[in-house]
Amino acid sequence: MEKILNRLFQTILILFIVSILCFTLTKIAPGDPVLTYVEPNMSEEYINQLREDLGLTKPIAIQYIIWLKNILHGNFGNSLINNRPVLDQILERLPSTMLLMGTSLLLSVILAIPIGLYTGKHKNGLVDKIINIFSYIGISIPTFWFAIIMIYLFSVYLHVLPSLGMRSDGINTFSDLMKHLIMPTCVLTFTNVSQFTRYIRSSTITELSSDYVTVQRAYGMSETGILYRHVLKNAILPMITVLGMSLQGVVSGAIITEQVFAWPGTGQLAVNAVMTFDYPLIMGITMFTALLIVIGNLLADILYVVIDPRIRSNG
Amino acid sequence: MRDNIMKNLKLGFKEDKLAVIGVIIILILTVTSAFAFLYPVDANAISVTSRLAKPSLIHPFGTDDMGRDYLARCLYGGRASLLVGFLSMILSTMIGVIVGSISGYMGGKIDAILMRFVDALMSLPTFLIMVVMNAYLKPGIKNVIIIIGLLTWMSIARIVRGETMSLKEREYVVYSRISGQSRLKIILQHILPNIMPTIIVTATINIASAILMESALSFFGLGIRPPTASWGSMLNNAQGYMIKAPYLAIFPGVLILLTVISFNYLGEALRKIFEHK
Amino acid sequence: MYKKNKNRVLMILVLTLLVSSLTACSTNKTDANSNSKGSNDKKVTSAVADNTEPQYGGNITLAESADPQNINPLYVVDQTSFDIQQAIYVPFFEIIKGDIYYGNGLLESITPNQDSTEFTLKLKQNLKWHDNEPITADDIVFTINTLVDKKQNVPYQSYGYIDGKAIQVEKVDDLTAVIKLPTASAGFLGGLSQIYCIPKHIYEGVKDIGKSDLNNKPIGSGPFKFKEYKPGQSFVVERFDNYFDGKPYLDTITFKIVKDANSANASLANGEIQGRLINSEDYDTVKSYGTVNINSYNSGRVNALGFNQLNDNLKDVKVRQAIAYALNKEELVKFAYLSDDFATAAYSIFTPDTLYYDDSLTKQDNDIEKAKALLKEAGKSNLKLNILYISTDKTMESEATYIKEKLKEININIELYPLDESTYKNKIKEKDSKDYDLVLQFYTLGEEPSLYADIASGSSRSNYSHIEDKDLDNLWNEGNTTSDATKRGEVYKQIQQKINDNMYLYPIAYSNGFYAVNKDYAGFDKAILKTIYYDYSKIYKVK
Repeated sequence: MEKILNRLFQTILILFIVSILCFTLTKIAPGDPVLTYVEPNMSEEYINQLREDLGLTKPIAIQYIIWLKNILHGNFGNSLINNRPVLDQILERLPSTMLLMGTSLLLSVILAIPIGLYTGKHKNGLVDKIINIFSYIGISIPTFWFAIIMIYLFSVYLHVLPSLGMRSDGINTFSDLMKHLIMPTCVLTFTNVSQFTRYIRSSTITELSSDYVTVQRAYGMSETGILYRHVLKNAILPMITVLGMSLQGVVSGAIITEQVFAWPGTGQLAVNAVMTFDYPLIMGITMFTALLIVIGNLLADILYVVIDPRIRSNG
Repeated sequence: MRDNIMKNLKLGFKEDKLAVIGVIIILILTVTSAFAFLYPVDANAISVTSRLAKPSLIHPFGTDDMGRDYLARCLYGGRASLLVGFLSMILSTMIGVIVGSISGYMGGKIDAILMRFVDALMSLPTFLIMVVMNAYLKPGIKNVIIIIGLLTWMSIARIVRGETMSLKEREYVVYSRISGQSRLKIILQHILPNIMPTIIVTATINIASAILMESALSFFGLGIRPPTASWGSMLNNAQGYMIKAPYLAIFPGVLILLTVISFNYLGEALRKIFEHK
Repeated sequence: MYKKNKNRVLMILVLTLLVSSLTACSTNKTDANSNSKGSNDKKVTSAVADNTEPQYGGNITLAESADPQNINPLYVVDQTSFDIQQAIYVPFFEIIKGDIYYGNGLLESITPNQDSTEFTLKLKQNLKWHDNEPITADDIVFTINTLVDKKQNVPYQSYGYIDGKAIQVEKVDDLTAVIKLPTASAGFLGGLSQIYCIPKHIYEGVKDIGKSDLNNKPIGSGPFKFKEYKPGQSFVVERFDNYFDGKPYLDTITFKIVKDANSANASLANGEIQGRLINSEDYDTVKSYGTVNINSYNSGRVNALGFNQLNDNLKDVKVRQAIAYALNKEELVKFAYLSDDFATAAYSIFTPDTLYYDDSLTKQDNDIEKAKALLKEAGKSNLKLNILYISTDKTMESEATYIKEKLKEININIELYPLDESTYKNKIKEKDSKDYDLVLQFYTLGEEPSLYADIASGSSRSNYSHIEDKDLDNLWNEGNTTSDATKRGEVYKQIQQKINDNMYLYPIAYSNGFYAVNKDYAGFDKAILKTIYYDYSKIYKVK
């Protein structure tokens, strides 16, 4: 219990540091943020007024405190460009990103576990070697290149998959959504599954050579039994941490994937914000993503403790 | 210790032929990029008349949309990509090792603060921040290196911290501490040499990810300042000519893939070798 | 191929919003917009004659590179909003080739008094807003009052002011209103043609109309009405059955948001989207798809190189001229735009359709020896300059690269300075920015010469070259307040010559716009040919 409380306290501290980093991020950008707003017709007075309204004339420390206070009240500010609340914009995009991320992560785990176990068990076999090559390609290929090759292959030449967005115009069916989901999910999954497979494979190898397994073998336990009862559990456990950590990568990776496939998620919103210098939106998205990641990591840690009794007793 | 590592390396590479191939690829690419000037064609010389020329004897890799010799650009592009990879790796490794060893060795409050800072940085959407910083700072290879370096040291710091913490309790370290050696000296003399293998492995893999990050930044038109090319920027540029001139995308794409795979594989191979000892 | 000088329309909405035209044209990545905002006059030369019988029904999906920022026509400053606004709102009237065109405008007539200080605006009969409320003179009064209300901060505010004084408006009867000018102004009608009527019954009493939520569900006057908007995905409009200018053919138009240009081209190929503005570098690729027609039109856009005079070296006219002489404009245009068909070399800062365009300017071009001599006279050697442009704009990058290579020959070392679009915009908007030396820019200002003062007069915020020339400023002023045509002509000729002689700006090209459309659709010649605006009501599905 104390451990969990301690962890919670840490989380709050982390979030505090994150908020400072987020805030600094947009403040280091050179130039006057109010310029984004300025049209050639505007009078100097109006521009100064704007600056004041946006709180840009106050000392940085005060600006930060105001910003933080607002965020704690769930107010991430309004976009400079379309004046809509930042939080609304993030929340309306979030389901799309969650769908893409969720599908991809789930698929990656489902694929990675059997592949990892198999290749770990049959280390250096032919299948292992082939999978190994693919997993190296998966972690080494530039995402956008892979994505654009997919588009040209499946959309332009073969005409089998749609390349843009989440739904076809005016069609609101589940199968249509799934069709749109295929390519972006593949791109994200390829990288993830490659990474996960490697983790599981290596922990399988470690577990299989552990004393415990040797003893079990000596007692005549079947290989499949060993694999399922013992290795599976211990090889998957570290996956929880890996998943927690890969959240960040998935959000970042989704930036490019969403851009290429015109997927209407938060990654696309983020790029939009950067490209229009919409700094409340940039700060909001960064903060929000960090929040998700921190909470994700926290949950992963708690889950880990719950599942693995060793940690509980050692802790 | 050092001899031991070298011996292990020799043995390991003898066993792992693929790792040798990886090293050879990296060497070839590094050497050709470094000596790119020996190829007597100006990588930036434009031509109004010979654009998007197919690979031929005069232009072995063809020409790009501005009529520039693509082989020359691939050579110089490799220079930029590898430079980004190596230098940002050095930067991130340095920061990571410093933070990690201080944190691990000192422990207590310093450790807690540093590690929360690392946690915080790791919670940020790194790539988004790279895009933001690249978009708003003056473009150029220097900034790319600094930005990538500054945002990728955290995992090294964590690993170094962990190893330092366990090494700290070893007898010879404890002995040095009791005999009054300075902390800096202990870290430099006793701890760092022992975690070198881990650092080397992580650093190798970091080169790979830095090269990938640079290419991802190029996708948004950020990063290296033209007319200088990097493989990433060439690849991004090539997207517009997927039908007309697909080779424009193939050359830099394959080069990136080969390089990144080589570094990743080498990293893993090194890890295996070091674990063996 | 486009025919020169035919059927021009005046002005654009961008006008003062030069910067937004810059946005619009930027980037090959986000760029669906090689024609900048409000690119007018579209002389379409469609590859296929639209001789099929128009039929009703169907949807067309057009690609947009970004989410719309604000659809309220008084606050539209970005390309996407402008494109969508064209479907939802119609203007009061348009000006085509210097003549007033009422076709799809709200007005039936606009009549000046003798000294052109009063204009009587008469609305067409039975006009309806999309909520079926009648459009009346009250709406005109409300719109004009909003325009000149400093608190509402309409970006087009300056059209409501002449010599610093606001215009006044009065209702005469339900369909008639009178606008009174403080003094006669040659540019007034041009400005008014950019103003769109907004509904009084919706916006009355709203404190800050520009920031109002009401803009998210616009009530307009155009052929299509708002249906739904899914941020990041699409903006859909549907047919407005009470549209006054003939029943629109299509049921719906979907503006689909596709940020990546390459993805957008790919989906043009597979039919996921059916229309998109493309760049010259996309031309061959898109053409090879076989499923699309490419309509090219004169975009009214000028591409130019600015010399930041806050740089002491560039303050010297000889240095500017040397740079001009060192370049070969024809070659530069061919290099940046790939083909002569896509753009023509520009020598005046006016487009050829602009009133009083001067085609006899002295060409300072392609003479390396002269360039070297000029530099020597100026006493400058080994100059180092940077050139600012938008990193994602392929045309600009080609130009910058060409200029760099070419200026090597006269020993000027150019450093490319590409910035991301928003940073670029902020950089040039910064007052007195010395960070850039040369700057590549686009502007679309239309047929009315007085509007070009925007980019080349001392007081303008869009004077990115920081030109300071009192005589020039006086000339601009004279041109705007003189109503005598011959005299105006003289003034504007002088202006063009002065700018050319002093090489204040180096115009590069007048470029064409390309609209790629799926072969299943027709009517684009009527939709984008007739006027400055898109008339989406004329597009129809062939099968």
